[in-house]
Amino acid sequence: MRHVLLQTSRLLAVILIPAILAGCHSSPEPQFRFNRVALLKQEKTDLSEGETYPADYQQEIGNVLTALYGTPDQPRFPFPLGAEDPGHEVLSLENLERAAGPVRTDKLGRTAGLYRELCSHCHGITGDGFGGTAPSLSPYPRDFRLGKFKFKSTPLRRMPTDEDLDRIIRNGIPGTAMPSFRTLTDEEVDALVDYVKYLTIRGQHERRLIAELGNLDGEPFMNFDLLQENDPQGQQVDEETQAENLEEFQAQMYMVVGEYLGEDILSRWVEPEDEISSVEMAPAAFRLDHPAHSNLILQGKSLFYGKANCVQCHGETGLGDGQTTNFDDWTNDWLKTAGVSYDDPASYNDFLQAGALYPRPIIPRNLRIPVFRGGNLPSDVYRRIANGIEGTPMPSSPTLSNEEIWALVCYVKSLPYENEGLPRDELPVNERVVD
Amino acid sequence: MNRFWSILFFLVPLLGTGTFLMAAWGMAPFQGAWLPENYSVAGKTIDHLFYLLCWISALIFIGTGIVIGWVLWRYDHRRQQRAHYFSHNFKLEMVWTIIPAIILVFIAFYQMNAWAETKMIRPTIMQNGQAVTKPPMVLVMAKRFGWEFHYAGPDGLIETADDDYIENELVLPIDTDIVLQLETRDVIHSFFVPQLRVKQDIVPGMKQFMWFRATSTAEMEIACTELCGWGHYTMQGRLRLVTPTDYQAWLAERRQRQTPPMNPEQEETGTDQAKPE
Amino acid sequence: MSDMSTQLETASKGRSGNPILRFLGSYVFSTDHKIIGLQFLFSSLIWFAIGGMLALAIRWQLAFPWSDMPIFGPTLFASEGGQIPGVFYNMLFTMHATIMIFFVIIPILSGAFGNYLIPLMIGAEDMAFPRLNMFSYWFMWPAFACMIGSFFMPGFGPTAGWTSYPTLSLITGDAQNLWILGLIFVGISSMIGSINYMTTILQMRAPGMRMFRMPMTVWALFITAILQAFALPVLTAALFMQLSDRILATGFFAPEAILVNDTTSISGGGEPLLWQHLFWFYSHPAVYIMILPAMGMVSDMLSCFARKPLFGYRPMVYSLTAIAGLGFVVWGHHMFVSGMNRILAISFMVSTMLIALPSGIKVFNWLGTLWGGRLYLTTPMLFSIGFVSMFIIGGLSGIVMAAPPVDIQIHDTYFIVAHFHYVLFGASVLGVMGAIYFWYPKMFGRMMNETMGKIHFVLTFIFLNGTFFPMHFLGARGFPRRYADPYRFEEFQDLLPLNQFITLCAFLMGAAQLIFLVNFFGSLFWGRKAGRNPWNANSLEWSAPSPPPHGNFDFQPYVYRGPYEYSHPGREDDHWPQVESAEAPDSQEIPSPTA
Repeated sequence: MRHVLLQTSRLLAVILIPAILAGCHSSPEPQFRFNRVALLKQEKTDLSEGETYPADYQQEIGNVLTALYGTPDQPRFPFPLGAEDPGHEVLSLENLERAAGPVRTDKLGRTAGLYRELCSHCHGITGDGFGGTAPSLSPYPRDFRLGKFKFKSTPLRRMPTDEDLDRIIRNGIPGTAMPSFRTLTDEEVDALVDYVKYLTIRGQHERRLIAELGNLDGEPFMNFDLLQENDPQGQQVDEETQAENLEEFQAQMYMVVGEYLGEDILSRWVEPEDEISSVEMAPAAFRLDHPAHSNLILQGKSLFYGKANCVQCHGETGLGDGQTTNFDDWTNDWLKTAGVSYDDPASYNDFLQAGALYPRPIIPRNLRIPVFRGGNLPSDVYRRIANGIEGTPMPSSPTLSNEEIWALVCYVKSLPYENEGLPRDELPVNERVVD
Repeated sequence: MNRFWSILFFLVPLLGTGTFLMAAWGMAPFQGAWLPENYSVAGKTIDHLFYLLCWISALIFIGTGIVIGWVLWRYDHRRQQRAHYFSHNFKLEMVWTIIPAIILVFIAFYQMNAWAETKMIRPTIMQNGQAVTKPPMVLVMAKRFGWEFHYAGPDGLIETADDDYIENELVLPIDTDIVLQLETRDVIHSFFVPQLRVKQDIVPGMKQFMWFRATSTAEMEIACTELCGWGHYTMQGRLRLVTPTDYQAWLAERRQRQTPPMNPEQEETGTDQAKPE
Repeated sequence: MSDMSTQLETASKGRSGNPILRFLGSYVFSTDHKIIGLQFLFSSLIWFAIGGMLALAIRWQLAFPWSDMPIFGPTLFASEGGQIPGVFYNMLFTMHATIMIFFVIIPILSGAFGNYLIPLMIGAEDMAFPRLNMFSYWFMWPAFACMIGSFFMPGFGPTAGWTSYPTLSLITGDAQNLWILGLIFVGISSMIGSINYMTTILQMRAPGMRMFRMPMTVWALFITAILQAFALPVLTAALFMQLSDRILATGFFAPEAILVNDTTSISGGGEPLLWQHLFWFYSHPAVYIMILPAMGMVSDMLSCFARKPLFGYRPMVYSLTAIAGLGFVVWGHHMFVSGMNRILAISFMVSTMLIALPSGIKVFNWLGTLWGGRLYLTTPMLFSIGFVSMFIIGGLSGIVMAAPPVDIQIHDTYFIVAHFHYVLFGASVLGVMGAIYFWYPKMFGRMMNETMGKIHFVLTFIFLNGTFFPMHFLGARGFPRRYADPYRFEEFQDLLPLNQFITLCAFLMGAAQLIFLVNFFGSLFWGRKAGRNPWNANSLEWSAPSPPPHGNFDFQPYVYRGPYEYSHPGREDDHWPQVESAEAPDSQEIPSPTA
């Protein structure tokens, strides 16, 4: 019996050990994905057909970004002015550390690695909207790197407030794949809000650097040779030149870090609360039980088909079957590049190879379903109409008066119930679905 | 060696029943791994049935386990020189056919009322001196991946223009017959609250109704238990059971939020003004 | 050797002198039922390993959610830090279930043991339709191709669950199409097989082999074949309907105006519940297809190693028939809370209670068989007793679930997972393992190692209970099935340690199967040579040489009695083979049973 056991265990060892060794080596530390789509777009606009920028640039941009922002497991943030830096108002490093990294329990016994646990399946580890499930979702998950957010209380081209992001995380976006994370604690949501801002800023910065490639004339962003005491020939550089070189280097560094980050990107994230657009008072007829309520709805209806021209996209039926050939900004960003046509997939095959998601036209909202992505409170719908929706063909409406906007809100909110009780064959037909 | 096998097989019902009892009493390491605390009236019946079935099972389980253990102990080929040659025993077979049959018929009839009450007989209200089925208070709209709860507006009816909906948060009063109407926007979902002992699949194209009566205030989670896609596990809702007074207060607050700030000059009543957001 | 078997032998050699063609003819494209049986056996065992790996991946995610998953993480999701996406988890359990049900248990029971044992046990030279029999195996290969192919589709496979409920299954990725095609091919294979089994059993029995002299294994396979023949067309039709829904937008299972995420539209005028009815109309009988043959084989093994007649042979046959008959009218118990007619639920509950009765009778009969016997606790015997012991647990939890009010709480929770793993792993797989140990000497002419067999049994038995028993408690708590991350729910967070314990047991159980692997392949070369009848068993196959040649028997079998005449009082020998005439003394050389 004993020798059988011995034989068995030997055989087992021979089989098991390679299996264990093969199975248990862990994945390499994940890295942020380089924005190859933006690079390709830059190459298509700046260079002639088939030419590419040298791979050194990709390496250098990667190095700069890693130096400034760290890696997915070890986030960093450049606070160039130290403790005084306005960046501290935007995000805190402690929150980033809690949200980043693999799923784990941190020293205080709290769940950490929240982004990886809850978000990265769709938004991707880089925040590029290219997580594992992304291709099968409609609409696609948000790519943060453009720095555009749809549902916010601030006007177009302004950054959302923390409360806006907080609300999206807690409530989700009805009608999309974004679920609601209502059961997270305040701390956890704060950590995620900061991490989303961090990924956005990093992505914006990356795009800025890529956009700058055409102005560099083949020189690197930062010439570290300027810091050498000897010139390439091995000659000692005199002090005057050294000082000049240092100045030049500092200028380069300012351009790469300070200018792009500070003035163009970071400052826009400081105090967006100041920009919140106000919601004006509603007319009393907005109340459902007000005698003039139906008149307000009628006014909204005539605006819908007339002055406000909602009908152009949302369709005669309000089912979202009007103009359906537009794209959102995230797709247009590369789809409008020279030589690319939506009807000719061969023309943008290289973009898909580079990691762009297959372009899909944006579908105007079906207003006959009582689902409002940006929130269903009257003030939410008011802001959607007044401010428009960033990154989409939905425009802001500076020409409409306050009362007209309220009339539209009133009409839109009544649309899902407009045909209640009508027989089925008289209901409006969605031409898009029928086709 | 046969002793070892005999004990091994006898340990199955012993440990099986033992761990069940440990789990039911919440002993380590099974704390919390048992029926969660019950908050509904019908849940009491369901729990009672579950315990009853567990006890019947435990008896059969231990009985058969003892037989297997004993047989291995007693009829080992080293002790038993030759097997007894018999191939049937009519009386014995009748006994073990008829007694289980009686038990099964008993179980079948014993539970019918519980099923009828939870799933077939909908609560009624008195209207013009007649009992009519109670209309649903909330329309539960399931979708990938979340819950919309459409509350009836002041008219008390769902699916009208004054409805108000909330994402993933359901607030309901206790000590009230609650009727929910369940619908889905896309695929099959299932509405499950373990503490209330309620579950109902929601099928596209169909309306489902569900009713229960909660007994005390609590907060609990709503789970989807029918596979609905990649984010099945994210379909998490929160249910708050509050007293009827709190419920009315909460409802009033919700309705006020639905009313935007009004123009004071045109305001007739001058009441319930909400601040701009 | 009879004329017929000579003919068969030349036929399967492909009438060719070329050694390669001859090899292909006799071992690959063979019409010999034994070779086909072994082909089914080996391919099922390979799929068993794949399905097991998927199960361990599922357990990994439940014990260490979103951590770096071994093997799958570094190879597929390195850029995401080795973390699987939620949809990959859906693929894991979908493919685990599909593979284990359609590519392991059904083919190994009906395909491997059905093919190998039926002609041998009834004294026939081969199946009634040998060429059709070959096709039944080779129709598995397109199914294999579909399954393997689906792993390489976007999303790494189908993700709608093995039940594949519309409307979800209509909107998932294209791997679903391959999944449907795969199951259609498996269905064709099973259909051909079952026609063959029925004809063979009805037409090809040796002289004297009356229906009520057939061993329980043959009875069980016969009734399983009938079940398959009547239930499978329904599934095949349903699968074709789903395929056309997906490809041609026929909308059999999609009601009108369903919008997914507000954009994708599937329209139809169909009914999602229709699929559930059609699916379970097959898949509930399929549960019996997956257990009845194991029951039959276990009955034979118990009787053989208790050296005692099977208790209540005829009631056993009748209860098999009753299970099969009632099995067609209980499918609704999968659908108590599905939204089907709520009054109908009660009638399904009653029929489900009824089906518990014949199952109970079978258990009592097995205990009656053991009682008063002379037990030889060989490895197949231990697995058979393990089968009975685990089937009791699976059966009892089945009664708990059959009560619709209780089912409200435990439907689609881990209680269900515990129940069907007790039936399918605890019972069916233990039965299959026992059967492999039992018939291995007949198949390969060598014995498997008993010590390793017993170690394999005891480890499998302990860890299977460690894995599946705690799932009952999880289920009572409401812990839902098919959740990639149940711990997002506060109320399930404290169940993580118990899940880690389950995962530990599952991995150890998986490791224990390596002993079986070593024993199985090692014994092919180093196993002790087995004679014709190493276990001193009665049924016909043990009178044939081990392994049997083409044509099976080197004499014309004539059956004198039933298969369970062990320890007959009028004989000194404790067994009495079916082929032995009443007068002739026992002339065959028989080694003593090994213990």
